[in-house]
Amino acid sequence: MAGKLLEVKHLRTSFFTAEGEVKSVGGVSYYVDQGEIIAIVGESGCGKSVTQMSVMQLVQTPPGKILGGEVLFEGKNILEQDARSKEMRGVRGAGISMIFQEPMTSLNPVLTVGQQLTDVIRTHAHVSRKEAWKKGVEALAAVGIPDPEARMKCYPFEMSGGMRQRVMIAISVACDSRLIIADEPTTALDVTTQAQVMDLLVELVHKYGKSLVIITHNLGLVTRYAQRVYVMYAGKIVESGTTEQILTHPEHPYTLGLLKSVPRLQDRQEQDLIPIMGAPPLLSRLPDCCAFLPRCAYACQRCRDERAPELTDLGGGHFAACCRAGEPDLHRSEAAGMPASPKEVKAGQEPDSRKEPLLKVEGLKMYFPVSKGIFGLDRKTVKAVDNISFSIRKGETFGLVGESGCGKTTTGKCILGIHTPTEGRICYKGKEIGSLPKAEFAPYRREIQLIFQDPYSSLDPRSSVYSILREAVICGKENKTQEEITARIYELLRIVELDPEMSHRFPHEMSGGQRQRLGIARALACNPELIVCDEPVSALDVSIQAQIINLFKKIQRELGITYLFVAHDLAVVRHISDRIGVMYLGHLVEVTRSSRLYEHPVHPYTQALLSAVPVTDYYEEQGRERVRLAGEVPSPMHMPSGCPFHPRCKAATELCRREIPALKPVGDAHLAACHFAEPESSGDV
Amino acid sequence: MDKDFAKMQRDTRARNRKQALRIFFGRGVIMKVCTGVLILFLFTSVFAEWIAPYDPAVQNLVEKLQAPSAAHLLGTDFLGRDVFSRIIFGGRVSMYVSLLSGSFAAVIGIGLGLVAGYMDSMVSRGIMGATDIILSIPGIVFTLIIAAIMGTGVASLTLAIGIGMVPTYIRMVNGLVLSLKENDYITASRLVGQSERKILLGHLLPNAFPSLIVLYTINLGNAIMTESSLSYLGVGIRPPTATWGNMVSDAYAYLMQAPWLAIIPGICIIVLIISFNVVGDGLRDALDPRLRGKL
Repeated sequence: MAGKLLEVKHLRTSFFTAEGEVKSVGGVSYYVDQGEIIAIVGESGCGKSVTQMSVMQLVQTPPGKILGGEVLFEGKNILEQDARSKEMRGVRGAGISMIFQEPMTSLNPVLTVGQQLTDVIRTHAHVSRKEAWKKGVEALAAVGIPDPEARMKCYPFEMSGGMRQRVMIAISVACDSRLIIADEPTTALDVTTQAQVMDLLVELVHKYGKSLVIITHNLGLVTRYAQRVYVMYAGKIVESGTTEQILTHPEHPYTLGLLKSVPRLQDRQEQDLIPIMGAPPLLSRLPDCCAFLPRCAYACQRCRDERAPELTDLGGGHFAACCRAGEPDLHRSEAAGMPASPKEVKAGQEPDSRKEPLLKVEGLKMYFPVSKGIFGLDRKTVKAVDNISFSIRKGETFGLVGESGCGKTTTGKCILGIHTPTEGRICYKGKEIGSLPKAEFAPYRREIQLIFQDPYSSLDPRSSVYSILREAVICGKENKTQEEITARIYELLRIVELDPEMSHRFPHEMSGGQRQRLGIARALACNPELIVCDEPVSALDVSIQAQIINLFKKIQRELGITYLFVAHDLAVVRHISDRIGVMYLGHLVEVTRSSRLYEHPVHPYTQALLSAVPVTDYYEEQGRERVRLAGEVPSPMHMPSGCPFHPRCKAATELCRREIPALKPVGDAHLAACHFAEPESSGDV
Repeated sequence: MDKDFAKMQRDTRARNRKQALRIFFGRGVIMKVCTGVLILFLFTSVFAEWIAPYDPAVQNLVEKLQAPSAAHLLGTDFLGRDVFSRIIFGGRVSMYVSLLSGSFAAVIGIGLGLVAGYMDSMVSRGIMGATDIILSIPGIVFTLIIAAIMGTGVASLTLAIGIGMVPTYIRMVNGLVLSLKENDYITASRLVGQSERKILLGHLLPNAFPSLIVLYTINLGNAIMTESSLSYLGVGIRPPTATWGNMVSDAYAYLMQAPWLAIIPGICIIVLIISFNVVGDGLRDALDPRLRGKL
């Protein structure tokens, strides 16, 4: 490690808006060594992206303004350069390059990849078009894109999300930049692709001696890849240190809270998550004292009286901005459970396996016809869901996991009656409902409800909380008078832990977590028996996510509702579900109890999926052996023959290419669709 | 609890009204001026008989083409009629025609557009097909044909202009509905068993409102323009009834000798159209709950 490549000192950036000054970055200092990987962690709106944009001087001015501080890149203060100067443009790209979250929008859709690559190369180096093209091909090859020559002539839309993110990385390779800032580089990608892209980044760092700054909210990524970590909250760094220090001995209550609120694969299921109460403060109305104070479980009188604490050295390069940092009782209370959590471990009831299934799905198929070519002559079908069967018992939570495009949402929509299945039966309370015409489906309509992924588009922006719930309540026609309706609405708001005072607010006046609570209240208004939860927490911040998961569990305990929980996050699904089904390309490949799935995954895809998820336990992550998965999920339009997983499976044989394996029992209530799965095998195939 | 609730509801409504007004007038002096202009024009049209100093149709050929003076505030035209009185009476006809035809087109067009956008059936295809056919005919020609069929007079002219504007509404509403109905909140409404009709009127229409009010105010201006073009082409309102449109077209021959004859009604048309548009924009913002109150 040869000196500091980038050092940021007391950087301050504010946005001047109608509501006043928004202090997005309030005096942030950090550094990156040569060849080092650091992570900046924090929830949305804590200023982590704005910090990086300020370093690059890419903040929109106005309304934004960099108010002060120093950014030393290779010893020179680049903040002194004008944002539009030649020197600054030289730093961007050639010195520091950035990778953004959204691979769909970070490449220009009307130019080929080759044009964009050579453009960047020729901006920073005086080379001919031909040489630039050659360099571009080399760069694409370096980031592991197969057939780079042909790929240079592709448009971005012809590539998958993971591919596009690789192209972004290739740009930084081609420019030979010394520092890569990756802003949530894998948040929009699937778990297995995420692992591939991150591994590639780390490999480049090792190979070319680049440095890497990972900006993320995913603590698992930090655990797996970062050497040092900075934790940001409300525009300030509240804790910094090596990954080991931060993850095993967090000293700031916020870091502690973050770690406790993330569901982990190895958690016992009965245990409630311990969320951080409340919501992050508005950056336009920051208090003089510690910004975390209202949510802090350890707040003392000193925190209220004194100004916000500065970062203090705790030894060994570990800093924390908390007046109680270093006090031993922080960890003792952690062992006993955070004092802030009123409900501790509650014994979850094992659903009675002899109970009648509430919902039974048999041989469900959902095909969508796609017309292509002139006059739509080239007809194809997308097999979104192909022959899946499972059942859900009353009061149980059934989790459905898989990567995007695997058909899990389509399955949910078939059950809700939004799609009419191509084939197969959906039995609800013993009655076939899948093929019912609209009028006959009506009595079941309100018994099966949906909770949406996006709390923003699922609420009518022009309806108040009261009228949103009123619509859901009066459609039941059980309550008639105004008083009864109002009483019911207040009851619903209380169930989802919202203040009835909020009933006259509009959705835009609520935070993401509050909106999701409202969505849950709307679903509950119909007195449903079964709720399909379609990625209900994936759009929420980590600390809010834990609150909502706990709310789901509480509602199930109190109202006995059955959930079909659809999500891509294995840890979340594993935390909330009694049983889990794993889907791949429209097929159900493994079904079992959630504890068993984690301990004894049988299907190679499940194994790869589990191993691709980084865990937040530092020591466990270090000692973990990983099953790496090559390639990407094929398009459901070009389904592989035989087992859908065989092109990516290491154990694939001729048999796999020929025959689709059926789900067969491999143990106690454990089904897997793999030719090599043996009954009661120990889990290794 | 019920009393509390009623009070809370009243308070919220009062708060919303106050905030809506603040947003409306918070847009600056232009908004206030334009609102003032609209009120003034409405007032003079309603009370034209009492305000106008002369009968707008009475000719006095001795005093023709006079420049503005104390007796004739805005001068006289080529038949010696008082321009000021004709502006007041002409404003009444122009605003009557534009408001009525605009509202007619809005009601019919929005209704058909909602139906066409929400139902996947032959009905919607029929509506959209007819719309495309009508849109393929130049607007002025289409209106001209209808006006020719229905004869002259204020009522038939209003209807002709109104029908001519219906297709733009259908197109606009149809597009809006097609994109809005993809939102999750529409699915959510269906899942609680809400009827299609209530989803259309309770969710889709309010969310389409911001774009529609802009289209409505633009169309009010267009209606005045169309009315003057038709009058100019001779299928509009017959003399001696004054409208701003035919005042401009009548003055065309005297542009060199008495330019104010064309300029004054022209300015009135421009001021009215600008006022309609500005007030429309203000209404759009004032009625948007998203701009009221922040998190």
